[in-house]
Amino acid sequence: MNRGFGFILAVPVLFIATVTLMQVRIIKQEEMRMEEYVMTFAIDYSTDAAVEEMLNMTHLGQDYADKGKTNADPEVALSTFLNLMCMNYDLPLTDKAKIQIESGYMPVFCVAAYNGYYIYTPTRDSDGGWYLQGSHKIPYSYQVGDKYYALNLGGENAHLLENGSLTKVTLESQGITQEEAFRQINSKVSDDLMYRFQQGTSRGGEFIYIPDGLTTIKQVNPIKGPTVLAFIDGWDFNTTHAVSAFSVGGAQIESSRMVAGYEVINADGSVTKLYAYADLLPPGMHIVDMFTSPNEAAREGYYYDPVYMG
Amino acid sequence: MYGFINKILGVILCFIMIILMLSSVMVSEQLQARRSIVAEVTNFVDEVTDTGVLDEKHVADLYLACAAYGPIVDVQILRYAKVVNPDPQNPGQTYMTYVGAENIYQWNQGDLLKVKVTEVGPTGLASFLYRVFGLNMAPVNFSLAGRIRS
Repeated sequence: MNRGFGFILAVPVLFIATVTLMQVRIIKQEEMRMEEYVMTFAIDYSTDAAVEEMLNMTHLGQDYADKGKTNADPEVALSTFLNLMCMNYDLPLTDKAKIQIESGYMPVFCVAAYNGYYIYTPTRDSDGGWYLQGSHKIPYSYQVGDKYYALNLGGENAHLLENGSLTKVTLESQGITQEEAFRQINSKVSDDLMYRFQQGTSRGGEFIYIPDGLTTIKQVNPIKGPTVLAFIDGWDFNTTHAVSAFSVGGAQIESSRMVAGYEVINADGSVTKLYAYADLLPPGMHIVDMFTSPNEAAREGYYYDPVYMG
Repeated sequence: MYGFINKILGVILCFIMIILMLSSVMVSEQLQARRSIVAEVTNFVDEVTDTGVLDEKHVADLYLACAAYGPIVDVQILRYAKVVNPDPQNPGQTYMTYVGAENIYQWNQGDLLKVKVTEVGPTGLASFLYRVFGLNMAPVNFSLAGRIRS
């Protein structure tokens, strides 16, 4: 009787062991999902900031996507992306931390500009370390028969190379719809990203695919304006396991906030040139010059004024 | 004698089973709370980075929202002001940096907002799991940073 009862006792013991193991597993899995969840937001904020900062620094008072007259600086996008990733993971904004990120966790980084895109891939330097090396601007080329087109994000015209001559043509005259042009651009960038990712990581079976329309499944933006595409692979800073994430960030230039440049006379009689947003200055302030961005003001020798800029 | 020991063992096992079932429910609630805190912070970051406006009411709302889910967390809102100055080493060129600023109620375009959430001390559940099963639940500890758009 007692021995029989002992066997019966084994059932709840096994049950308790199973439930405990399941609980451990659930907690660990949930911690991993939580880290992935935070990472998706961190990389989204970083790519958004990267593309906004890039457009902001090259602001000429025009809508970049419509006019295509400005030059985007992909280095600004990369630098801002790294700054934000450092902030998101409590890393110092030092060159060492940024190099660690770009050499160890970013197999590919892409900046899609108006008439071409830049791709950054890890490259070994002379000291044996790794850094992200940017490519030259690669055009959105599209071949139909013996016609070679260089498309752009304006969606109205393209450059045509045919029989050795280069001409500017409208998409309509060539029978190419705007949708087809965007589809080709997205396809070109996504194929190149995939190729470079597979080449850099030696993981042939994995793909990066950018849909040419906003989908409800993946919820990523297609390339229809200046865009930053970032891929983080095997991120293990401040996480219990390696996390990977991919993000596409796009933006257009918004209306500018005018920056005022003015001069302040110091106690020793010297003059310091300072700038602040015009709407933050008190009335009656003598303004020497107006600018469309802090960058322009700094280029003219004006310094950031912490008194009015907060 | 053995029968008596078996009965005692049976009662103890029943007790452990009940505790386990209860802790399972608590664990799922706790994990849900963590996600909810992340969601509150992302909503806050989205709102501030989109509008560039933050006042004391917004901050109080965030503190309350984060405290409402169970884990006791410390929420820090940090502002890093974007500073562009002429580069003294390269005339005509500029350099950009971020400087920590105390005033979190005035935001300029390009400033960085960082919200840091840290759990203050272990929760009752975390201490219970650690003492009873030796299971260590990682504390809530994350940061999210965004750039002010306007």
